[in-house]
Amino acid sequence: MGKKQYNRREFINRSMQVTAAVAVGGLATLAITKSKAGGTVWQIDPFECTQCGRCATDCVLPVSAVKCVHAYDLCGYCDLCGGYFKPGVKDLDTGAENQLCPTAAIERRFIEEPYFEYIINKDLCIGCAKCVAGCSSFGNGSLILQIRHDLCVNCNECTIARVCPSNAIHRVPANKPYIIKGDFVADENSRWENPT
Amino acid sequence: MKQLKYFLIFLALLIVVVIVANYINSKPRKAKQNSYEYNVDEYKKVDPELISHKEVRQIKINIGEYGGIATSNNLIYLAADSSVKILTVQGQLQSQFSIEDNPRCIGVNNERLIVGYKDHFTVYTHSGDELFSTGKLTDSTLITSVAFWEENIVVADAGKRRVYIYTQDQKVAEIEGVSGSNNLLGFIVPSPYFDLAVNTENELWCTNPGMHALQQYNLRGDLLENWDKASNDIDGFTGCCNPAQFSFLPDGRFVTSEKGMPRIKIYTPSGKLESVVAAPSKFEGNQHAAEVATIGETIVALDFDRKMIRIFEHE
Repeated sequence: MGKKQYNRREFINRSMQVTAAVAVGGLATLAITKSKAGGTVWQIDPFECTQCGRCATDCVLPVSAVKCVHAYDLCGYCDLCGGYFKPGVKDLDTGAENQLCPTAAIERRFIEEPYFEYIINKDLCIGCAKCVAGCSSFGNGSLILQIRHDLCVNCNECTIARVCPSNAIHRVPANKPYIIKGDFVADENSRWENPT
Repeated sequence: MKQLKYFLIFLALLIVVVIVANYINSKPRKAKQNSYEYNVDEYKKVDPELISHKEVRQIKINIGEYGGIATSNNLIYLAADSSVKILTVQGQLQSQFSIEDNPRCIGVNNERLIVGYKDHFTVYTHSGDELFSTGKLTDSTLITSVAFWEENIVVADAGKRRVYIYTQDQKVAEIEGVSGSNNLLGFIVPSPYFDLAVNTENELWCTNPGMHALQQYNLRGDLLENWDKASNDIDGFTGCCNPAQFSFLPDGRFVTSEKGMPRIKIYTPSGKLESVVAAPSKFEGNQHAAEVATIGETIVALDFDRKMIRIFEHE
């Protein structure tokens, strides 16, 4: 019953297994820790946001991690959408000259007369908040800005929060990372559970 | 060695200056112009020549998220919280009585009051005695306006997008509404604002907010008159769904109230803008449309955000 002797190959294999287990365990612990109340992430409170446009220009990322999110249950599915059209447009169609969004990140889909659905393409959205301002000023306020945590690098000090004129960006628990108006949100790629 | 020391001190001072300058310049008030800012203030400007009324009084009230006003015999009837209060236009309380919590709208005639709640309505005498109450109309009912129409009671249901006509507590007709040039079936109600009113000629008018229209219907639900004007300019109705609220002046002119960019205006019976009662600047920061009623040429507005009744008199 002597102590088991490992040859070099077995020793390396066992070492790699232990290392992998420690790494996986560490990541799991990190994820659990982050999801507990102690872990926080940055988020915009849509009820405090004044749509100043600085989310588009002050994020450290080349394209801002702030994106427009659509709270569909608040949307009126209107033909004349204040978040989609520039004010005073002649025709309510998808002509580029009629669109408020500088990157054409909102897709307008016909549902049935006279209802239209507005879908945010997050790859094109730069978080400029023009549509949010239009929707809030002329519509139901169903378009809001949120920091997307699949893009945000969670800086120690958020550069957008630093310049936000209404102090609308706060740290929130990582297990409740979104502050959404209405009961649910959806975009073309995903549907999140109600985080509020 | 001494030169190096001075150089390091200079470098440290330079770093401090750069950090302080960066910190100060990044403050919101010092921030540079943002090319993405969308300024809608342009659309809030109103030509002073168009303003016909001035605000003469503000009456502070207790009101939560919901409530309604109506006028009759030069008195203001306020249904809010869990009571009906009857006030003079000077703000003096004449009488009050308790009702259920969270009333949403009120209609008045010489003999009775109707109070609309979320999914039912109740009729009272002027002294507060309950005459009858309906049960829940439907599961998705959201009553936003009630009025007397001759011997009938008319009810706007924003949840079902219908107007109901009741005799006592029995529904006798239902108006589905007509929308647009293609005569589409149904009212378009994108948000919980759906108003109706009866003028001195006993004509029933309803908003069709998604079509930016005001429409007259008969008892059978036939569309008799329609006028609409969707525009961000002062002569039209802005946004997704307006007018949110309206009332009549004694001669049949419309007093309209809008949400989003709140403003109160007067239109001729044919739908031509006549004047502006209250510009958007009067409702700075407001989210909700004011409910409007009239006493002669005086406009009474229920301002939910500032929790007050605001009185506008002709200048």
